[in-house]
Amino acid sequence: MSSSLKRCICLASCDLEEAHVTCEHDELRDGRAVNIVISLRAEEDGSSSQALEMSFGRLLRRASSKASDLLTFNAGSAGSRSVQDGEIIFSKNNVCVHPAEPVPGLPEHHPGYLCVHLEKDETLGSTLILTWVPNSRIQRQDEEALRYITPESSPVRRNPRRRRARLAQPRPPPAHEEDEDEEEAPESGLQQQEEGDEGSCELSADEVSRDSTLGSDSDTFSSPFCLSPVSEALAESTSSVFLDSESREMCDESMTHSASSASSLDSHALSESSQSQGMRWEEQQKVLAVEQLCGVFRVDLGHMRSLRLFFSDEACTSGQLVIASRESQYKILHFHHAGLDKLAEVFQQWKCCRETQLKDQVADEKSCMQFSIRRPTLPSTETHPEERLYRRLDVSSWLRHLNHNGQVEEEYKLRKAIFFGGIDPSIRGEVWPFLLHYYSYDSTSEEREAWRLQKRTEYQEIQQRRLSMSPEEHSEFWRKVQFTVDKDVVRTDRSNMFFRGENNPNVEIMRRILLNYAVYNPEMGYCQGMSDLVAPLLTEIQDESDTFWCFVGLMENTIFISSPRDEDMERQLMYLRELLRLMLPRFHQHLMRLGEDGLQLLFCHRWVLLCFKREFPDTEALRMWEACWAHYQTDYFHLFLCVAIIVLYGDDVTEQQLETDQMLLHFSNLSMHMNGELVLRKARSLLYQFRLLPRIPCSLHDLCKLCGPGMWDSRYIPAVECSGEHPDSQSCPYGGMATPQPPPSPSHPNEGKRGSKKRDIFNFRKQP
Amino acid sequence: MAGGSVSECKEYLFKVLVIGELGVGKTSIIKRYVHQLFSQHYRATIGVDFALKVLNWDSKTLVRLQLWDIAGQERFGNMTRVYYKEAVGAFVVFDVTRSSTFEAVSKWKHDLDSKVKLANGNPIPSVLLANKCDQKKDGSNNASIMDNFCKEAGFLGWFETSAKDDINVDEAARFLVEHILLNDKGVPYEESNGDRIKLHQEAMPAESKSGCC
Repeated sequence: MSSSLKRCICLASCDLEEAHVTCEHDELRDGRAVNIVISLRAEEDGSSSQALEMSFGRLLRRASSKASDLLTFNAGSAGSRSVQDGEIIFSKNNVCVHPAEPVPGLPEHHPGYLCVHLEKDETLGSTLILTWVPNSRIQRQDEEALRYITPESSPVRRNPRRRRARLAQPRPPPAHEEDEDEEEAPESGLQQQEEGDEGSCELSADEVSRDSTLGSDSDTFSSPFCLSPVSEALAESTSSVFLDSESREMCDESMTHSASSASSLDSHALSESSQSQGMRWEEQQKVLAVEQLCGVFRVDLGHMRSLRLFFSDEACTSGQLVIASRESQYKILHFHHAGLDKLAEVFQQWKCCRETQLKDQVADEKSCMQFSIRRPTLPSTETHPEERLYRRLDVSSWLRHLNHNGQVEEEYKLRKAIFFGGIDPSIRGEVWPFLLHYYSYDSTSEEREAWRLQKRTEYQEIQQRRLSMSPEEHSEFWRKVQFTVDKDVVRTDRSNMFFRGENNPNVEIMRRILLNYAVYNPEMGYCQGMSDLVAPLLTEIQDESDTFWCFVGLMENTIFISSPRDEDMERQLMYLRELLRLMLPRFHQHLMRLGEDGLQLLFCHRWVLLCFKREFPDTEALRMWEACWAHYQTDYFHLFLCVAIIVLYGDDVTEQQLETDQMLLHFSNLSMHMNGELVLRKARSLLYQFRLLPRIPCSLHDLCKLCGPGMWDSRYIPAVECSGEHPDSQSCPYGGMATPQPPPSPSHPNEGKRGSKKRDIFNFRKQP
Repeated sequence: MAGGSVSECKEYLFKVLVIGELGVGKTSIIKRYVHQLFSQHYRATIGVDFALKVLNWDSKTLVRLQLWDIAGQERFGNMTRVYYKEAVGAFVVFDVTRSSTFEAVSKWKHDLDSKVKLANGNPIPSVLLANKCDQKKDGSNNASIMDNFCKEAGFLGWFETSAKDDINVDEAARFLVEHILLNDKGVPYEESNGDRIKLHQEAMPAESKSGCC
């Protein structure tokens, strides 16, 4: 943007080196947010930059006035003074995020505003929320981004109504017309409140079982893959004085290792998919990279595994902060302009943070600090920790995901919201086309309109091809496709209002879409079951051409497609068996006892083929579809849904040792009698449990491949353990190590750590 | 269970397949037979469906029929082998209003015989169902031609059925079960599994195919 803004941020960053913002009153905090907005607007209006500096000045005055309070928030033991929810205890401008790999056309440095604030936490007493908002978002007057740096928790939690009332008061008129953002604050406040309640229930139950064990999820870098971002961060800081040649060598080694593994994975991925999918994959990767750099990063540090600070200067003020999640993902924040030492003090003060010593560190050198997060109890894995943080995506929250050009601001965040909360039926028709890759997330509203017109013409051309077949072609088409389509469309979803009644024109539209699809993709043609998949799309999207292209996207991008090939289904079943082996060993043993027939998992073929459409009423089944299409943390969420059904409804099978056919009967009798919401929740918690596993069998390596790292710098890549079946190659293509140990059971997350210790290359010297 | 002392009652569990081209009415026949229902709009079967019919065959025999409703458009070649496994009888269905479905009968029968056999190596008893006979135009299917076809193709016999008007469905099932029981006859009573005799006990040369009709 403009130089004046940069100057302003620069100014702020200079001052903020010393500033630790503490706001006791929400008005102040709000005032601050508004100030920034005003100042930016003033600047856009062409007013002097004076206003900018003034507003930042006000902000800084407030910040420094309370700096002395900083050290008291822990005060040795909990409760010396009540925690002020929402207090900002650290903030710093121009903290950078760097791309993990250079992205063409993107700069290396992505500066942003970092802020740490306190929030009440049921188990920890208080927790720290760290938020990084890219400057680009602040510059764009992205109100949502600004809201992130204004903690809203405490007053909202205590009194949501008051907040709503206050927000309704007049505010400076926005420069652009913004979506009805007023609703956001009270809404999220309520959600947090709900979540808090939920959390407390869960955890108290958990406490009983774990009793007094201090569940420090102490940090082990168990996988060579996990090292790469950190070692990169290290290698990058070439000016660092602390890296001796030996450890640097080791870093390099680990980097090459991870790089080569990564490239072999990529080539594997490419060889597996068709050319067009390969292209899509690359595009997607770029989008994901941009996302990771330009998206808001926000985590509850109380849920992290470890925090590490690597100093790059003698004074130990600049360097990198590396945040590691319990799911072994990493984020690296670069402090080029000091401030890291102050953050270290904050961590030292926080009672949940325990500084851990590395054995080989020499006492007189301070180069790295490591904190692990200790919790009185580990959070329960029975419920995904982010469960109930999200509400159903409705019109107003959907609009908030779009900027004024109609582009989706943060794809990852949108997908996550959909994964947890689903989409309100009234806007499914609008949002599904994004999930189904008909619209790209960064397209503007105008581009989408143009795209629709273009695709409509294309659709008409396909239809024309069908209608102008030669008699021979047509008779073959009739035999292979049309006959079956004609049979099926009249018996698909006829109880749905949209298709009800004789001579319903929508049935004819569905028929045309399916016929045209078979022309468009003759290799696939028509498979029974496609009508079940297209019917809900048409019901929600309504437009014929749009539905067609969404259906194309559905068939290309989702993995539960009605593929006509044995091997696709076989692969799904293989993954499912492996998941069961890992997560429900008792059931897997039962299958093993039944032998090959049992392992065929006949009872879930239809689950996979139609993505549960026949197992649950539409309202619930479509929620499952959306959750699968969101590709959140896995590309195979439908398999987690399968496991969830078996976990919840499969006890009889193992208890009564049901035979293969009885098992089929058992589950087919359950269709339309299961609780879809419960299954969804269970599946999300299973995914969470899966992601906590420090090691997974190499057979499940691809389960989290396409979904991207989200806001993290590292993909999710746990240690891979070779399960030893690679007929085509000598060694495990995933670099898995053969180990005699049984795979860790998810119910004992700590168990898996045994023996997974690898040589720790972070043998840095450390301060005394 | 009417009459007969329970201890002497024999209980059988038979797995019976229902196969044929798509849309010939396999699901309808099963729904008619098991639930006495008919609808024009049963959804296409995906993979396999399943129904259980319990027959009080006579005072001393209880028969549980497991009817496996197999999708007409079977996309997974490998899977059918699992579907067919351990079946002891089959209905092959065609639609009298569509000659192409009759032409496909041989293909289905061949597929069946290649994938499942009785313990003695013989093909499993199978019955041909000419469904939708309520819609039949004139006497297009000549009975003697059909008899010959059955003999050549290795069907025990054939029935004109209508799931819609409930014609011959029970009769066809009864006919098939009789033959399945014949195959089972003389099998020594094997206690082991309580009162349930497992599917198709080993051995015992089957009766020569009774070419009825």
